[in-house]
Parts: sequence; C-alpha cells; structure tokens
Amino acid sequence: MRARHKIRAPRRGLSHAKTDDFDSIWDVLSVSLNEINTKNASTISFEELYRHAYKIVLMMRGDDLYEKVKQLEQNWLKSNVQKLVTESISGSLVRAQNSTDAQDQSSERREAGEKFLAALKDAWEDHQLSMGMVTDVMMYMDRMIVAGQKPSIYATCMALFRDHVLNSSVRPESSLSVTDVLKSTILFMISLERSGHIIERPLIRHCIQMLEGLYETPTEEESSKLYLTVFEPALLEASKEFYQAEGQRLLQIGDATTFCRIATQRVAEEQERCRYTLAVTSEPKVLELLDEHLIRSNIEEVVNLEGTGVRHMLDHDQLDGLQNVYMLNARVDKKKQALTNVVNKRIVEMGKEINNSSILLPQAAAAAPSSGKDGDGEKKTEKGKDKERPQNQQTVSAIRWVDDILALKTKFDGVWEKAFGNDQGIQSSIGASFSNFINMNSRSSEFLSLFFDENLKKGIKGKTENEVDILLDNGIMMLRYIKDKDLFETYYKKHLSRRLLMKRSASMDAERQMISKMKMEVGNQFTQRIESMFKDMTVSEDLTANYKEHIARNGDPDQKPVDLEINVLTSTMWPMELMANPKDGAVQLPCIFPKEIDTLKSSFERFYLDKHSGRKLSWQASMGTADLRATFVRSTGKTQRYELNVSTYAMVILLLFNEIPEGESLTFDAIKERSRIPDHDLIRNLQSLAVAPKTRVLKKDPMSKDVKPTDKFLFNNDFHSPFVKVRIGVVSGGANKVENQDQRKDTEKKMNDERGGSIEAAIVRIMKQRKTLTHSQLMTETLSQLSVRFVPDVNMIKRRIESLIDREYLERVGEEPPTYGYVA
Amino acid sequence: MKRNNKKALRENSLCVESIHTVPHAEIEMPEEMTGQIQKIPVGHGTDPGQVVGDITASIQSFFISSQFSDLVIKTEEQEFKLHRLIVCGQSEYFARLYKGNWAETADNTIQLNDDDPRAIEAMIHFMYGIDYDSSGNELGRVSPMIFNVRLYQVADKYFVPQLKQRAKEKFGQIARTCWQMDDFPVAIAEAYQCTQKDDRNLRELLVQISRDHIVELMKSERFCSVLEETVGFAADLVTSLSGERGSTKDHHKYYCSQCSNNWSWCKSGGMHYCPFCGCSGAFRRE
Repeated sequence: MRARHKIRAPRRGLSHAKTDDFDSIWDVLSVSLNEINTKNASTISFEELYRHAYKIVLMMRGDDLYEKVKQLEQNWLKSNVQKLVTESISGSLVRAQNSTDAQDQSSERREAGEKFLAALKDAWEDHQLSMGMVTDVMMYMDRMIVAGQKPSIYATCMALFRDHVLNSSVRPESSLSVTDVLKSTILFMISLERSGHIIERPLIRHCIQMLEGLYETPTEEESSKLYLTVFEPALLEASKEFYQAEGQRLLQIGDATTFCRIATQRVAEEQERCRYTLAVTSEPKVLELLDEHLIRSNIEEVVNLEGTGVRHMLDHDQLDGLQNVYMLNARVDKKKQALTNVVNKRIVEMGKEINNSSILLPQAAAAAPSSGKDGDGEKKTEKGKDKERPQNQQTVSAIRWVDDILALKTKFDGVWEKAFGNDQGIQSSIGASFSNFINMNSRSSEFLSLFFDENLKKGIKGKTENEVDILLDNGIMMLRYIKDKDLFETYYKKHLSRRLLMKRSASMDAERQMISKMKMEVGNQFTQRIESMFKDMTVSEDLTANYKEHIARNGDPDQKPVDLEINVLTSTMWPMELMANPKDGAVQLPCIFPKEIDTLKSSFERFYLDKHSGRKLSWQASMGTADLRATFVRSTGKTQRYELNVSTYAMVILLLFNEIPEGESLTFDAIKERSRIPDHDLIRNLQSLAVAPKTRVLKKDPMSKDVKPTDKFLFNNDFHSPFVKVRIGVVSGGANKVENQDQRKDTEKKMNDERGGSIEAAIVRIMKQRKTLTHSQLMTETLSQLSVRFVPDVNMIKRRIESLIDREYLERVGEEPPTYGYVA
Repeated sequence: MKRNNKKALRENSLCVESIHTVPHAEIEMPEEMTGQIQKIPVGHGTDPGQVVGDITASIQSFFISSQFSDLVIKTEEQEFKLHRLIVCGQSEYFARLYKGNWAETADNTIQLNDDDPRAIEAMIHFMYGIDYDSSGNELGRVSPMIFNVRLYQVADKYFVPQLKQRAKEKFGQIARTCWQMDDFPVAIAEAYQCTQKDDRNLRELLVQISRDHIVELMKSERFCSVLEETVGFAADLVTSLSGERGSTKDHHKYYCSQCSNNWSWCKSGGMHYCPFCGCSGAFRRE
C-alpha cells in the first residue's frame, strides 16, 4: 500500500488498442473464422481468438463485432453451403415434386432423396459444429453485449442457416425451396416405410432434429419450431390421407381379424416412428388421425362384418381377435359402444336360445333329452337323473336352463377377463344383457329356485366346501339378474319348506350359507321370513326334546309310548298352500287320527298350550311321516317284521287295518269315511301302498293303476322286501318340481295380491313423509323403492293409488299437474 | 481424535471459501488469519492419501505435486501444471476451450501472455481453493487495491464468477480504508478501463467511496485528473452526488385515485400534490 504508481497503468496496456485497431483485429478474426467454417480449426489458438474478441468488446465495439460475424457467416452459407445443398438435389427429385405418389419411380427417387438428405444433414451438422466453436470464441461478446437485447450469436447463425439454406430456392429461377424438397422427401420416405419398405431412419431422424432445432422467430418459442410450422402439418395431412385409404382397403378385404390385426400393428408402427424417426410431440397427433380415420370411422362396420366380425369371434373363442377389437374400440370410444352392442346382442341371442330350449325340451319327449347346447360335467349327472325320474322332465329342463346360463356366463366372463381387459363398462353391460334375457323367461325365478333346491338336496353331496361355495355364488349371481325377486322368494320358500320338513336338505350348513349369501345380495328384508323358517325348525327341535322329557316325567307309564317329533310352524312365515288344502270352497274337516295318535295329539296340545297360551295349533297331517313296525304273517305261519317309513296319511290308513279282523278288506269309501283323508291325498297314498310294485303293503282288488271309490283293499301278508327298513314314498308327492299351469296361475295370483300390498305400503310410506307429491314423482319414488324386490306394473300402481284415495288414505289436491296429498 | 480432525477440516474450509461443497464458506475471515492458514496446505499436503475423503486437501496436494496434470497454463513468467477437471469446473472459458478442437487442445498448453502474471497465478490458486494474498508474493509486490482490480478483470475475462465476487469484496474492504492513498485514482482508471459499462460491481463501489469523501478527494491532483480522463466515471459520480442514481429502492410509489396514474418519487422529497391532475388529497403512497 505504500506503492506509488503513476496514473497510467504501469504494465503494458491491457486495452490500449485504439479504435482504428478494430479493423486490423477483425481481419485476423475473420481469417480464423473462415478456417473454422472449413473445419480447419485445429491449428487456431482459442486463446488468441478469444483475446481479440475480448479486446473488441472492451473497446465498446461489441455490436460491430456481432454484425461482422453475422455478415461473415451469411456470406459463407450463401456462397458455399447453399450451393452444396442445392446441388445434391437431383433433377428427378425436383420433378417428383409435381407428381404426387410416384411409386413407380420409387427406387430412383429414394436414392436421390437419400443423397439429398445426407448432404443436408452434413451441412447442418457442420454448421452446428462450427457455430458452436464461433460461439465459444465469442463468449465474452455474447455475455456482455448481447444479453437481453439481441439473440445470442448462435441463435442468429442458426437463423441464417434457415434463411439462406433451407429457404433458398432449389434452382435459381424456381419457386421451390429446399424446405419443400426436404418435406416431400421425408414424407415420401415415410410412405415407403408405411408400405413395408425399410428406410434409412437415422438419416431422417437427423433432418427432423434439424427442423426441431430451428425456429421461425428469434425469440425461439416452442411453438415456432420449424418442425411444427413447416413439417408437421404436411405430415398430418399425409397421414390422414393414408389412413383414409388404408381404412377403405382393409374394409374391402372384409376380414375383421385382419383389419384389427393390421390396425393394431399400425398403431404400434406409428408410435415407434414418432418416437424414433420423427418427433415425440407428433405421436398423439398422428395417433389421433389414425384413430379417427382408420378406426373410429370403420370400427362399427368391422365389428359387424358378416362371418368374421365379433359374433364370429365370440362363437369361436377367438380371444386374440376380440382383444384387438377391444383395444381398437377403446382407443376411439371410452364406452366401446360398437363392441358392447354386438356382444350384448349375441348374449341376448344365445340367452333366447337357452330360454327356448328350456321350453321345447320337455315337449320334445323324454326319449331325447339332448336338444340343448352341449354341456359339461353337470350334464351327465342330469342325464342320470333323467332315467330316474322321466316324469320330471320339466324340472330337469329348468335346472338345465340354469346350468346353461351359468355356462354362458362363464364363457363371457372368460372373454371379458382375457380379451376385454376386465373393463368395468363392458362388465355391467354384459350383466344387463344377461338380466335382459333371463327376465324374458317368465319362469326364471321358479327355475332358479329349483336349481337351488336340486343342488341343496343332491348336487352338493361329495363336493368340497369350496365347490359348494362357487356353486351357490353362481346361483346368487343369477339371482342378481332376476328382477322379480319377490317371486323368487315365494318359490324359494316353498321349496325350502319341503326340504326342511321332509329333511331332504343335504347340508344345513349349506342352507345357512345360502341364506347369508342372499342376505348380502338382496338385503335383510328379503331373507327375514326365510330365516324365521329356520328359527321355527330349531325351536321345534327343542320343543320335541322338552316334550319327550315331559312325557318321561308325567306320562302314563302303561301306555306304549309313541315318539313324536313335531315341527311347530308360524303360519305367516311359511308358504300357506302347503298347509291349506288346494281345494277351494268346501271346508275340509280335520283328518281322524287313530286312537293312539289322537291321545298323543291332545297330550301335546295340552303341553304346548300350557307353555304358550292363546295360540292355536292346527295339525298338518299332509306333511308328516311316520315309522311303523309291521308284522306280516306268512302263509307258512312264519312272521316277518318290517319297519315301514310312510307318510302320516299312509300310517292312518295302515292302522285302520289293525282294527278289522284278519283277512277282511276295506273299500275306498270305507277308508275315506273312517279317516277323513282328502280324496286327493287318499288316492295318492293308496297308490303308493297298493300299486307301486316294490312297496305293496296292501292288496288292491281289482288290481289296476287307478284307484276307484269301489276298490277294495286288504292287508298283504305276503309283502316282501330285501330290506328290513322300507321307505314308502307318496306317489309324486314330496319332490319339488316345476309347477303345472294351474299352480302357476295360482302363484301368480298370490304374487299379485302380495305385490299390491307392497305397493300400497310403499305409497303410504312415501306420502306420509312427503305430505304432497305430484303423480309422476310419486310413481318414480314408488318404482325406485320397490325395484329391489320386483318391477311393479305401472297400471297396478295407478290402481293402488285409486284404491287408496277411495279408502281415504290419500286425496287429490291438484289437477295440473295431478298432485296427491296425504290424509293423516 | 476424530473430533479434532473435523475441526481442522473446518478451519481449512474457511480459507477456501470458493469451494461450494464446504458449508459456511461465506464466513468472512480476518485478513491476517487468512494469510496464516493459506500456507497450511502447502506445508503438509504432499501425500494425497493423508487425509482420506477430504477432496479439497487431495486436490490441493495434486496441485502442488502436479500429479495427473493434463493441462499446462503458461504465463510470461511461470508454468502451471494443472488439471482440466478442476480448471474447467471453475472457469467457463476453459470449459469451452476444451469442448472444441483447437491448437491448444492438441498440445494441452495454453499461453496467457496478455494478462498480469500475478493475477493469473492468483486465479489458479483460487481455482484450487487456495486464497491469494492481495499484496503479491515473493515474485513481486503490488498495490493490493490495484491487484484486486486486475484480479477482478481476469476473473471477468475467464469467467470465474466466485473469484469475481471475492476480488470485489476484498477490493471494497481495502478501498474503503485506503481511499486517500495514491493508488485509489489509479484503481479508478483501471477499473473503468477493463470492465463493461453494465458491470456495476467495481464502479458502484468506487463511485460510492468517491462520493463519500468527495471534499477530501477533490484536493488530490491525481483524483482530479482521473475525473477528467476516465470516461464514465465523472458522469457516474455526478449522478451519485445528485442522489438520483436510478435505484428505485429509495423511491416511494404513489397512486392517484382521481386520475388513476402511478408514479414514483424519491423518499427524501415530500409529495404534496399529484403531478398529473394537480389534486392534493386523492393520491396515496403504496
């Protein structure tokens, strides 16, 4: 700090160059820059060039330097590069501009094009390289002078390339520019590649990169890239034309599989092309065009192509083809409308076939039960059953109907999973289609319930828990499709009650599982009554046990005890038609029980009413069974004992023969008079006792199939059976089967009555809450409330509203629009 | 033991404030302390394996041993065997040079004859994380004020931003205390000559100090002649003296709700009426 310097800097001047030195410095610089342009830079000193440029900038002549450099590069491009590039464009290439799609001279044009592209690519790369070096040397200038006011020298020089090479004319007097040729050449190459040729991809990639590196404006916004302004529109136009033509071409081939395969391939090709040959930014645009012109406008037609379309694929399980269709359709339509429509149509068609065959089959006679679709394992067991009970043809066909639908569902589930990518929308539309045709069959509820009945009785025997689970789930799935769930409930209850009372159910666990599944699917309200049936059964078990104890304690020890197993059923919960006799009108007097039984009956009644006062027990003999020990005295004097398991009525009949002397007979009328068994049941029981070949405990005179009032019956001491225990079933009694016409009408009538009640209850519930409501609103709400259980008939709702008004639950409060009010 | 090591490391790092990997690099060190520590790495850094994991120390040891050198920088007086990785990392100039294919890249030698050899030496030291002594070394003594100006210029020319910052700080410290020395006017002349007009770092400092001491400085003949001869300085000084050196920091912003005009006015001058519509109550300061 002691240094005393003169004012002038002591060292050799840093920047003492005078203004007039600018020219001499520039002379040195310009020589070197030209060397750089001719790729001779390796002998030039970076430091020297930099130092010169630095000096000029310190002289405050940076702007002049900038202009000089620009001028120099411009001259270079004009005098050398431009010539080089235009010369590489052969005459044939220029001529090819006018004739579009000159595929005939493709190889010649291709060669010329590649030569041109290579020349342009080289020119561009050289320019980039040398401009990079110039920029490095001019770094100080760039930083100090240019910042903020002018584009960097690099950008400026790039723009020069655009102006003086790309935008220059191909031939001195031609209006065709290099860019035009470049554009058409690349498009030509692409069209070659699209038609299956292999092209020089890297070359094109480089030229595209050049277009991407150049901008229209000095500010270099993304949107002003030459690629976007010059090339992409042409590319899109060409792609559009190509795919319109491609669509037509493929349609003419008329094969849906081919169409989809090629279209899928095209998508992949375009993706690859955009990624590796052109620009990634074009990918969505090109694909959109492809979607629009190749797929969207054709997919409908393709899907419906006769003989090869989706229907054909579905019928022949062409999962690959279906998957392609799905992918293509998904590209253009979120809802995949075209595909869904066909699939739905096909499902309904196939479903109708199943419906029809379920009706036709029973009529087609028992002999040939094979009109339906080819089935799987379950089919065989069914055929076995056919032999067992040919009379139950209808029941079998009902179960087959369910099985067929489940098979169809499995098939479409497979297609959905493997080909439709687990698509939600398609799943629900498949579901809707199933629901559609299932509900076309008016007996679907009954059939499904029979299916459950069959399986719960026999079908699940020997199956693992898992298999049972799947089986029940399948059934539940069908239940989901059924609209009239209340009808199903009725049938299910009817079938269930028989299973419970006759102990036909194979597994109570499975029954309970079924209930809980239904509960999950349809709701609490639905299963309430079914559950209470189960409750009655358990309560009855306890009751039986308690009664046994009671007898053991208090009973008359002398009397021979008769074991009683009793089921006390809550009448409102169980299907009434089981209990009440179907004969309408005439009051049926209760059956006269034999003495022993009658004592037992009154003893139990006392016991029961003692516990639950105020209840009324009515005895349903038609549902019960009895075990009898019967002694047969052979003509040889030997006695043979058999244990007979018979229905309650049959027991009553057999006990009658205890009361008459050995060898005497009873006429039908006598039996009827003594027992008061209803005709219908009496005939059936007598048939099973006297007509059925293996269980002839009684002899009938005359021997014939029918039972006439005058027929005589007598005890058959010669009854013979290989087993000690003999079960004598009632002819066509216990099994659950398809209802006949009358029964169905009956059920429907009951159903309608019940529905009427439900509708009224719903209307009153709604109105109580809303007080006043217009007609249409009330209709919608009622429909939505009831839709869980069934689809109500609109007319029925209207009638119910009328009836409620008559009974002064509702009143009309307005006419326009019609409005109702709640009467409290 | 470990702890001590760490401490030593920390101290080391303090003197090499330009290396970014070390935290607290910005902490100011008193001048004399820097001078002491500066010599530490030179003393014991010969074995690169000595301090494992200490990148600064190993780099400095390579600088001293010239091991793995792949680049030579020559000045008129000296030759430095250096490492591209270090040099190019610090200076964009060298980075760009090595990007291209030049005469220098062929034989790995760069001749820098146009600059002050002391400044180049200091710059190279700085690149290796060794602080420089403003008053020169055994090869030659210089005025610290002038030296920092030259260093600033070199840093500017070769694009070493951290060195620029460091030189500016050091220069500011010295100039604020030594403005009455004879080399202050020389510094003004050099600074105005070798930096760009838009580069306000040194100019701002010089103008500020000159303004603060204008009365005393005007008595100096040398200062007056610099004022006369140095392009731009006089103008900057006048602007500064008038208190209106374009910085909007000293201004309040005003808005007139009557004529919806915005304007700003220096804080010292009170505003009593709107300059656009002449009203006196409808404008407010924002």
